[in-house]
Amino acid sequence: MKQGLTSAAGFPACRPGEMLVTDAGKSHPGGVALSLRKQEFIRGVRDTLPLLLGAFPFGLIYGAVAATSGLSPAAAMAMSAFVFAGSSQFIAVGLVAAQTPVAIIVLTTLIVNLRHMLYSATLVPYLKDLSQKWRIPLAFWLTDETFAVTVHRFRQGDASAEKHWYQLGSSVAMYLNWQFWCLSGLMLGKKIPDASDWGLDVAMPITFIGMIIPFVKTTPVAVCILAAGAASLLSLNLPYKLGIVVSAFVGIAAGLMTERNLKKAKRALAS
Amino acid sequence: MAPWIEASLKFIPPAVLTAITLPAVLLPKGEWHLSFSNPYLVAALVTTAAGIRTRNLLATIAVGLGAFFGYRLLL
Repeated sequence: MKQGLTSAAGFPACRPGEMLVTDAGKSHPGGVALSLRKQEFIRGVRDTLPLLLGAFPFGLIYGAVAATSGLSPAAAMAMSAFVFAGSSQFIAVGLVAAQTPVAIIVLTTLIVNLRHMLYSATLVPYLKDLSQKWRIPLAFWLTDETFAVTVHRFRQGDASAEKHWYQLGSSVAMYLNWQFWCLSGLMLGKKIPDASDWGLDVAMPITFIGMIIPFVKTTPVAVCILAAGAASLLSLNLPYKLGIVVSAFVGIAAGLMTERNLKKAKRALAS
Repeated sequence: MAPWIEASLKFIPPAVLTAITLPAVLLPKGEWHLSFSNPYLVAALVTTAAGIRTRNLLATIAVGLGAFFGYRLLL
């Protein structure tokens, strides 16, 4: 899949000059290279600091919600350590609490994370000369936040050959921050007696509403949300929470059709 | 990547999130609860308003949680 994405990625951000210098696998750990790596790493951490603040309520609430979902604390922490994806973890915990079959959980989280295909396609031109030893951890640690700051760094014109260290710095900062707040949330959730009666499960819809709003910038996305919402209420009787997947596809189709019709209308107006 | 797949990627997160959120708010305990005595629904409306107004995730979540627990105390 990686190869296919490389050839298909028609992204304007890809500058051939930069790809040549991102050949860090061959540079030797001399004094100059080492300090440049350190600089890039620290810059990655520093540019990610405001995003750590944004991730802290997610982590805390994830831990608290997970504590009341029926997952063991070890399983909840293992999910943070090995899945490391905010919305997927929320969805997975919600589905676990609703006693959803594993296959549906896997399918739903797969769909939620499909956007990472677009992220990888965007980053491949910058990372394709790195060894697997680098690419696998960077791919695992990629989040919306790290993607946002890193793609900005890669697109800067300077010839630094160690920009992947910047991504590593951002990734490690996000990862440690996430583990810390998830653990804190778990301990908090366990300390509160009868936490399940407290209505902490409200944190999930509230967080999701907060996440949905920034997406609603265009008419097609607004139509997509309305269609997905209507479909979710009409498909409540489907077994295994299949309604979520069905509704997602209804919303996506509605968004695509709206986008196409708007483009057509614009063309008709122009001619 | 086919152009239509690329175009559909941006719809995926809001579509999935909405499909999970709306039933959780309107049927909080698995039963329809379409009234102002449903704190989940009231908190969702307040959260939406706060999100549109502040455009700040941290503030939105804080307001939403405050609205939920405050409203439950009032009920």
